[in-house]
Amino acid sequence: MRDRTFVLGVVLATFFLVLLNLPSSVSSSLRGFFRGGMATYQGGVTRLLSRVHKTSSVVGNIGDVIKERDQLVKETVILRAQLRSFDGVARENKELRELLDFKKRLNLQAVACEVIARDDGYGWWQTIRLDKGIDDGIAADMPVMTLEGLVGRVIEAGAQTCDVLLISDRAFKVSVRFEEDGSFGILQGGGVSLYGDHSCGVLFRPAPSRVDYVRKDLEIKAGEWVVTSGFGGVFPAGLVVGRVVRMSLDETGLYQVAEVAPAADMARLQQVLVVTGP
Amino acid sequence: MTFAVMIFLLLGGGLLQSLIPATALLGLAKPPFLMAVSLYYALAHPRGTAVMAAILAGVIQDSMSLLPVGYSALCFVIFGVFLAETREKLFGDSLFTVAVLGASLGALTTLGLYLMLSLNSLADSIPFWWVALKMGGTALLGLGVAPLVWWLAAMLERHVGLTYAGER
Repeated sequence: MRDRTFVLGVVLATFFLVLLNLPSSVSSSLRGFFRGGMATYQGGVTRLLSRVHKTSSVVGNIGDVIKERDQLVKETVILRAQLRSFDGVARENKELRELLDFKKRLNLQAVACEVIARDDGYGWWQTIRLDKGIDDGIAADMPVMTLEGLVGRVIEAGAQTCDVLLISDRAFKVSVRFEEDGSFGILQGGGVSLYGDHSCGVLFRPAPSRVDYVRKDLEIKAGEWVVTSGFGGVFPAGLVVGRVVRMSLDETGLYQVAEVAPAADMARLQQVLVVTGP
Repeated sequence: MTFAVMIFLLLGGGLLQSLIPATALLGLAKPPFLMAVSLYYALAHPRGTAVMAAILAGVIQDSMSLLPVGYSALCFVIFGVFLAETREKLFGDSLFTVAVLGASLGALTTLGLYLMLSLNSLADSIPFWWVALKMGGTALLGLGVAPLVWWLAAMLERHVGLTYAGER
């Protein structure tokens, strides 16, 4: 009995020595095997739940839906009027972009993806899983966004799925620029807020991200837009990240800290765009 | 048939674990279905089967998350072997025991994973208060999930004509 236990111990120790030191290609294949197998079911269940949620919401809030429709009609009229007034601005903007050769950078190629799961399997990082991967031209480090703004970056891509680290995760960092002021900084995800009425919600709302080491003499106001700076090579310049919600002095009193609320609604991500190229 | 049931439970558990959203108040802890399956095999099956279930549960959990492959498997195997060795001396077979073990192992697995991540500098951005919250969250969820999985697994095994160790 003791011999068998010893043999089992040696076999397990050897097995884990190999498993924990697998080459990244083998490790990725192993992950891909399980993820690929699960992706179909994850997508199916997510779509089913989404339909159930939408149906129950419509049935439960029929009055709100009618109000919302009326509101949308009003907004459409206003937006159409605004659109006409923006035509001139858009023309001018286009000329300027051509002049400055920005057009190439702002015309981004993107792949539309559906969110099939939230959070990694154990909840250590704030991630989402998308229904497209390497087969669709997606690779690690590609930016992910919605029409509202930056959502995160692809951290790992399999053949048919990919995982995205959200900008709200503490491990996420991106070089940003305050749009009006023009100064730069490094934005770091703020994690999850435990306070407020959303903390009990099943889908979390993120705590504001932070931009540390902002010079004390800069006058950055709440509401100012924060965009990617383009430094670092991962994110193209000009992608909307969020808005400044609060400025304060850091513990040393030597620098300011900007709290930035993500522009994209991180709790309701369903469709996103992966920027695959310029 | 034991292996087929194990695969079914592991894949079902993995799917549920990845799909059920986490809540901030529990440190974004996920319901530990895979750990509960591993716990069931550690308490109710021979040691070899328990080790196999622990390895598969760990590899599936790591594959579904961003954890390096092998971290969860190592935690599950250590706890699985310990329980398989001590179950007859220390532990009974009631759902209450399973619930307590589910809670304890949930917290310990989270701590074990954090220590391994820290050793490899992968947890630098994760503050310890968050880990403590997550440990509590996993323990709470393990308290509910472990007996549920135990009951489901035992029922499934009985249904396909298998008997687990507690009934032999």
